Amino acid sequence: MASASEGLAVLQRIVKLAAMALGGACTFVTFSSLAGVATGNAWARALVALVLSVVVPAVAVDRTLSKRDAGKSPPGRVGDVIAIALLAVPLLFIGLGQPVTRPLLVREGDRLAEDGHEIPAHVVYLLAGVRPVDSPPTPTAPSAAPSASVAPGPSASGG
Amino acid sequence: MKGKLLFLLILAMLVGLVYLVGTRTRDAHVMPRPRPPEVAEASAPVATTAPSESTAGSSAPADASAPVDARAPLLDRPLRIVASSWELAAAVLVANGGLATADGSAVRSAGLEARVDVVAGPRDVEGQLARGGADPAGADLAVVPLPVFVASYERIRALEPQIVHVLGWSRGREVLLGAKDGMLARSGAFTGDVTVFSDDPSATALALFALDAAGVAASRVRVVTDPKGASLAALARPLAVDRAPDLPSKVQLTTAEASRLIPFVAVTARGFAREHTAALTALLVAWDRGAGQLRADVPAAARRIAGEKSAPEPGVLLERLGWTVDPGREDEGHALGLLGSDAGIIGDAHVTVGVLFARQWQLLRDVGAVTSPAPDAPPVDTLPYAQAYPTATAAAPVSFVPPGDGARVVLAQRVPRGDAAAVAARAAFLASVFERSAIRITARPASLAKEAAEVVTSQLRVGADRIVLATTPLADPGVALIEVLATP
Repeated sequence: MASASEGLAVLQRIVKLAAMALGGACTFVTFSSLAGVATGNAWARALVALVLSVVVPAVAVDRTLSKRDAGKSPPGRVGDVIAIALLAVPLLFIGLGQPVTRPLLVREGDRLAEDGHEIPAHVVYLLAGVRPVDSPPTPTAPSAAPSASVAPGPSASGG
Repeated sequence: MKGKLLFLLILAMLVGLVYLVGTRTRDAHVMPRPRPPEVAEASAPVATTAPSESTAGSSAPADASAPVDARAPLLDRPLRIVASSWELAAAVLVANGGLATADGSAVRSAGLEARVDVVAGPRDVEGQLARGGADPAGADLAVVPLPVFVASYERIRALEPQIVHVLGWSRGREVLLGAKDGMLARSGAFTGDVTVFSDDPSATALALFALDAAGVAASRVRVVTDPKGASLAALARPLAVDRAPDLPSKVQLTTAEASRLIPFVAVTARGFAREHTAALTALLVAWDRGAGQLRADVPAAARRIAGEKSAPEPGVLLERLGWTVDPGREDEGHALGLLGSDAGIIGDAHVTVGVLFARQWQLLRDVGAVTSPAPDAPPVDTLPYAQAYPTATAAAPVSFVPPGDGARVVLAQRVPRGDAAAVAARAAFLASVFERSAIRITARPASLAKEAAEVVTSQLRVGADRIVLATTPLADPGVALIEVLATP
């Protein structure tokens, strides 16, 4: 019985850590794309996003856990609130609000791509719900053009 | 207890986020190229994203003309376009202001000069494309129905021709006539070789597709130009009132029903597409504007085109335009395989020009009209479209009216063997070609029909309201019968 509850506790920790990691990254992207409305500067966007990604969960902890219970709340409760706060932001902005927020996220991906951060750009495009295709070559360099022609496929019809 | 509830909440939010992000349809988006390092360094202290924000990432329709204007000239000579008929050239003629570019036209404002020529036959189109646009008697871009392109591909293969634009679809122009009603729906209606009279490549494509779907392999079909003894007639409108009395007269199928079988495409040599992508992009944007103007006031456009040398009368042009449909740039994204498909190719229910090219090539090869193997990859170049409309979104589903009881069967396909996935793939293909029709599935055992319907609706994205499960047991041999029901 003890081993089962220990196993559950380990599972809870793993899920919480995954939630914090994934939620934290998505929250960072969320705030970075919002900051991008005001400035395109990469350092400024990153700084704003970092500060907000720390402040929002901190405020959530401050508001949900009363000061009277300081030091008395069950172990891990602070982590639970942080995980929920870090998941709530992207769930609203990237998950449910995507039809509205997609342009902001796509622009964020574009900025990262222009800055040469190809992998982060692809991640942001994934969150935005678009499939990146390579931009066409400049007219003066035709030999550099990779073809994006549609690949062949089996016909669904048969006779 | 509270701790477990919080754990469940975190788990639900985590799964919800992953599910929402992972299952959404992804439209194509052109990723900008990295800025050159020296530019990035020089502009680092200030906001440098304004140019990219003006061209990409917005949900508003892209307007590529602004950046295009800034880098003129796109081509140091007129871009030459040849079309196989006036209705196919209508939109670009409106965009161009006539056969030659007029002041104030969409083509001129896109930074281009264009010459449009309309010729009588496919061989003329091939001849102009072979000469190239640098020759005043040649062309850079040809506008033809897809079956004409497929049939001529072998002769112009050296150009490595590529489809760069889908103008729209034929709707009702091609007609397949038979001796009796419902021949494509009845089992055993065709025995031995089938002789088809045809006077048009697109009508031939309709006949070969319909017979193949109905179980008559193209190798059993003979396409002839003598009406005597023909069991089917594949004709293109306008139908001659004095056509041979030997010809069958009962309508079996038209492209009004198979409305996504014959696309109209613009084709160019691969070399031109590579070297002049920016010019093609600008042309597509201007062309789209012309199409919009055409849709907004068809009579005015018909009158304007009728004023050109050798052009048909407005009434004739209006009739011909009625057999074509241009659902717009979102639909074109689907047709090119860029929108509405996570894979960008096959695997879902969308019929793309690449799929249709491969299918029509196979049918023509089986009938002996072409002899070489199909190209390794379908000749489709999506870059000009992707650059012209970087933020185009998926088109809305086509409106569908459910068939009533006792709806007429337009075409029946018998599946001799296979599992639910095989039945589903055929049903989905027919559902895509007949985009306004319901598809009825009968199978042995009956559970196979249910499984196939589930695959069609859940994996192949055909609307559940378009799939009808038959209540009667399968009478024919084989495992399944897929029927296309006529629209009400």
